[in-house]
Amino acid sequence: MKLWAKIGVLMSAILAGCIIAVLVFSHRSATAALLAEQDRVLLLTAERLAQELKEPLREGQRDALPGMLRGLQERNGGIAYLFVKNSTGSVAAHTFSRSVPEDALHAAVLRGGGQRSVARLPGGEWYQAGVPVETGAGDELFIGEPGQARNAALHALWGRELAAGTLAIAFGSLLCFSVVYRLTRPLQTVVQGIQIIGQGDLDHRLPAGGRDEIGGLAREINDMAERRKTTEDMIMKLNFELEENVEQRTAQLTAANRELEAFAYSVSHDLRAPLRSIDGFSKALLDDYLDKLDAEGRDHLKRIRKASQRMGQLIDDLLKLSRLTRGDMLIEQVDLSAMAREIAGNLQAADPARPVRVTVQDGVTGAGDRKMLRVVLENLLGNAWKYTTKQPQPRILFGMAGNGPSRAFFIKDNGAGFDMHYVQKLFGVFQRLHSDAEFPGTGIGLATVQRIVHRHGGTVWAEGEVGKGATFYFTLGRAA
Amino acid sequence: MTGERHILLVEDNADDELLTIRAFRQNRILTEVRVARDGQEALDQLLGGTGGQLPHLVLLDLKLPKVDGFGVLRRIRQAERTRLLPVVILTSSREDEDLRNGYLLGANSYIRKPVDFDQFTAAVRELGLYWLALNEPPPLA
Repeated sequence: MKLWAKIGVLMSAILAGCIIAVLVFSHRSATAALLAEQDRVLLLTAERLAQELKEPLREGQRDALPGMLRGLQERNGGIAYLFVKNSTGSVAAHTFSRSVPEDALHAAVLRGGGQRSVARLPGGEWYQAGVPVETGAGDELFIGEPGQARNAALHALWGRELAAGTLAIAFGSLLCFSVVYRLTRPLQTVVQGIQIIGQGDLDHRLPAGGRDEIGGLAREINDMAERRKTTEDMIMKLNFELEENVEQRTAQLTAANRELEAFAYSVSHDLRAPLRSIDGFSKALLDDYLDKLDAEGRDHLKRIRKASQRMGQLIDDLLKLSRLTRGDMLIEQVDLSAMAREIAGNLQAADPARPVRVTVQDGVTGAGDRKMLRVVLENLLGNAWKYTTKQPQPRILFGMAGNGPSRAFFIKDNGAGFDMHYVQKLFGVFQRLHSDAEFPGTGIGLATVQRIVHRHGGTVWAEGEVGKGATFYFTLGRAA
Repeated sequence: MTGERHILLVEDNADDELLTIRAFRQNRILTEVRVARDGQEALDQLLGGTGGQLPHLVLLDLKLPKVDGFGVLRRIRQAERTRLLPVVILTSSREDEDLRNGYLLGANSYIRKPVDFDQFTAAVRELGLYWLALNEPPPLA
């Protein structure tokens, strides 16, 4: 229900209550006035009739009284009956067919000499007025008129009052509603305006001319809309700038990536060609000029070949590392247990003589790029495989440690281990803690692992002790 | 039928040319090796003039002056005469993009040159054995 309707209904109800109260009050006094007026008329009639009886009675024509009463009744249509009491209190004459009814007699008492009275007979059927007939003999005339006439007048009064009351309530309510509606109209405009602004039309303004509270409210809301518009404009502008910046940066990054790809391609193709020459012609020297070289010369050539081959390997590993930072990632749920078992099987197949006990925990899964996670496990398991060569009972364990957000995958071995003092160097490119003679390698494997784990939003760390083994942990930041 | 035909080596690097021929000889593959030192020269030999004897096999490097390996391969596959000619890409690169393009344009094989000359010799041996002896060449147009 609208506010103006509520207030209108309330005010109309109050108005109706007031009108009804006034009507009730005025009805009483009007009724009393009506009755008094009718009493007065009845008494005047009685006095007029008494005047007509006065002379004949003075002249002693008492026997003619009943006939005179009947004559009076016939000439005065409104009179229902007449009777005369004498000074002894008995009825001298009457117009009733038999006798004067008890009720009428009972009411026919004039207090003291010369007083007049109007009485309502029980049942309300008659109103009876009594006046003295000034004959000196104490006669009293009583006349009665039917109550119907009075009731009809009262009913007519009632009807007028009811009509006036209804009309007053109707007009009053209409007035109330129109006044309230007019008074609350600005409020409705404000509410509608707020809705329009709320729906996003920040350019909409409320009419704010009024000097009352509603006008103040409208001005306040207009100010708020203005501030919000300013803020939104600013946000839009900032967003636009941000998008522009992002586009610019993306373009720069794309360009940088393209350059990097060109560089990688060039490394792959152009740097390897001279290495092939160095190795190939060293081999040619060893093949064709073996007899002209002494042991030292042959050794030098072998070192040249070994160095060039190693450099070829380094270039390949570097390329692999750079490829990992360029490629798109396809995140899926990966069964790491199955993957670890397969890699361990491959390692064992390539090196069947080694008695390595590999234990893989069941049901270890992680979300990540399948190809990249394979590179991680290949590197870590490959390292474990390599660094346990000098251990008579080599053991490798893959599984999951901890739980909740701190859970991490781990690969544990009982191999050569490392000094925790150098743990920072572990993941650097070309950083090695062992000589190539001890354990061969290019020093790129763990750097590759770290780069993949970082691309997944995870971390990688290691624990170790010289001669006792090493444990490598990693997490995958996305829902692993 | 195979005796008179040759191998066309498309290679701009003189060292690689020498080493490849050396690898063939060491593996006792005595088929004549003709060399084209850029893409245009290769196309001239294959498609130019009246059209002499076609090679038995083309060994194609990708990074070449003038017309690169992909351009040469595309023209070979477009020409009616050389459409079925066996072409083996022999290059340093192993970029996915190069592999995809090579096969898309119709290379019969893709071999990456190893740095280690022993491995390179072994690769050439396998290659010769397969393409010159084992594999049945397409009928000549």
